[in-house]
Amino acid sequence: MQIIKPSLYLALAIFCSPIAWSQQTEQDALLRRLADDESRIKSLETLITALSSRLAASTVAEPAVKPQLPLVASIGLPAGAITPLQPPQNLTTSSAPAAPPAPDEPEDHDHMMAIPNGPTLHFRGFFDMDFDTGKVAQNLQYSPAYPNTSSFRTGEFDLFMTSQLSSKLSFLGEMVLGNDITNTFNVDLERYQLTWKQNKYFQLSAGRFHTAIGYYNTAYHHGTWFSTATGRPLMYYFEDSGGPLPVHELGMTATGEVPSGKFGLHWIAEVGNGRADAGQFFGDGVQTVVSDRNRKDVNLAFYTKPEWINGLQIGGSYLNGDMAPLGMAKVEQSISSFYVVYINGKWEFLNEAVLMHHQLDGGRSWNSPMGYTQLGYHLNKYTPYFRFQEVNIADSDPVSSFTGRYEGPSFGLRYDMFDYAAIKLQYNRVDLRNAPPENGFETQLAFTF
Amino acid sequence: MSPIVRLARPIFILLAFGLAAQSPGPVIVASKSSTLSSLTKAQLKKMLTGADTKLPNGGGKALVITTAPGSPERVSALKLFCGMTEQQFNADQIHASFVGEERARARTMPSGKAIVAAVENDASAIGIVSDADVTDAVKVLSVE
Repeated sequence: MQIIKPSLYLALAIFCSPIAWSQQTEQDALLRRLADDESRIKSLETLITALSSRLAASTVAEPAVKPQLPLVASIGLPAGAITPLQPPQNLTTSSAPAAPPAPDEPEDHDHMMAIPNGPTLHFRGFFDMDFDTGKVAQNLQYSPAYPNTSSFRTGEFDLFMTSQLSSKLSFLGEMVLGNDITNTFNVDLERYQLTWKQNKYFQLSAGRFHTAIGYYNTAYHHGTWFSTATGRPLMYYFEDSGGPLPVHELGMTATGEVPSGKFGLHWIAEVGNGRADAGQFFGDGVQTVVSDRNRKDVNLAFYTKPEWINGLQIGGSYLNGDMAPLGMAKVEQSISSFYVVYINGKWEFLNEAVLMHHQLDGGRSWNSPMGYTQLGYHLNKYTPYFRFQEVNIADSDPVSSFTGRYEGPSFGLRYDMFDYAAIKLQYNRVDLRNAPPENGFETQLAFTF
Repeated sequence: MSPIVRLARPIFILLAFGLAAQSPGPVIVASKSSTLSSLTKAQLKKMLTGADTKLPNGGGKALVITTAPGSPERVSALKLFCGMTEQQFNADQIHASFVGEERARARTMPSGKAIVAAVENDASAIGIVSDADVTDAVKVLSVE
């Protein structure tokens, strides 16, 4: 028994030694794998942190450009740095915290169409549908010849487009399909501006633009959803509606800020064809192809938005040019405007005055004052508003098709039933110089899509 | 104590509690490496609406981050700095595009804590959060 016992131990030791050796080897291998895995995890963590930081940095620097694969090339790492590594799943770490997620892309309010490696076309539409009763219920046209009947009316179908062609070059286009008194749709390319923006102090646009006369003409034009009231004051009616002012120009416009600190001064300088004598040879008056004269309109404007009164804007403009009515001597035209506007989240207070001066070459002159005041107050989704306006143009004015005296109040209520749609009810009354006053009531559904 | 004063006292107390319970104004945070210490309301309005894309005093491009549209701190910030509701802010953004203004819009993140984390390491970022989200990792800018 004494001999058997050591023999058994010896046999057991001999039998078990390969197993023990094998287990030791496996343990070593496992430890090595664990060390390798830990090393790989650490390198992955480092790489992820670097990637996230660089990605966030590139997103901040160029918000318009979304990161695209292959990521390796875009962040400048060697190609082999990523290939052998598998993306970690549910990786938790205590030594290297993951970089915070980058902010979302800004919410776009436009529809967009992009071509690969090309500019993105931003697209938005505006439309309004109306029901008019009475002669002065139209927000687009006013004419004594306009039939005095109740009508459902199609407003302007406005397609608005912008595109950033490079960091400094952009394009803006606006195409409007509008009806006229003959119930016929017409297509108007209302605006097209190619703009070079050097910096906030200087940008230059070429094309057809809204003339910087006063405030309303550039702030609200087509797209009645923007404006509190159903339409424009009479003085800013479009040229093809018989409006008295050159509210569109074809030419060049430059604008920018003036380094003025809290005064918030801005300047505008424009040169354009000017309008033709309305109703005669050159169509609706906006000279988009042929000008009836060599001299161009020049318009200079300024405005200030002082920082200490949020919503206040004060400005003015001076336009000078000629008009060349057929069969007459030329008429020099100058248009001076001044406005004070206050718009904050509650109040909307618009005040504008324009003096249109016509000087017949070697003859008499005509001064035509026009203006309006408009007050609105936002009560949540409701905005009651009031406007009083006056246009006074001598019947003998040789170059204005809109003559006579028109003055009177408008009362209205706008209800923003949704973020992008509003219903407006507006009553208008116009007192005329040599005729009984006229009234009108307009219901408008205006929206953007 | 007169009956009127006795009646009025709980009303005043309720009013005081009501005012105290109102959500505090938005807090403006920046990275500790930022050179900014304060901003004016006008500057914040310009940056929120995208009318000005640069940080004041010759700083670089600003990245303004708010919580999601409709969140209390964002609604409060729009009202306080821009005088606008969320709807008016949307309309203003569309209108700016309509009149040819190029604007860089504010970014959004799902929570104030995420904003603080994003702002922490980014000297160009300005975050608008609630008081509860502020940590020692960022500095609070005063609003003038």
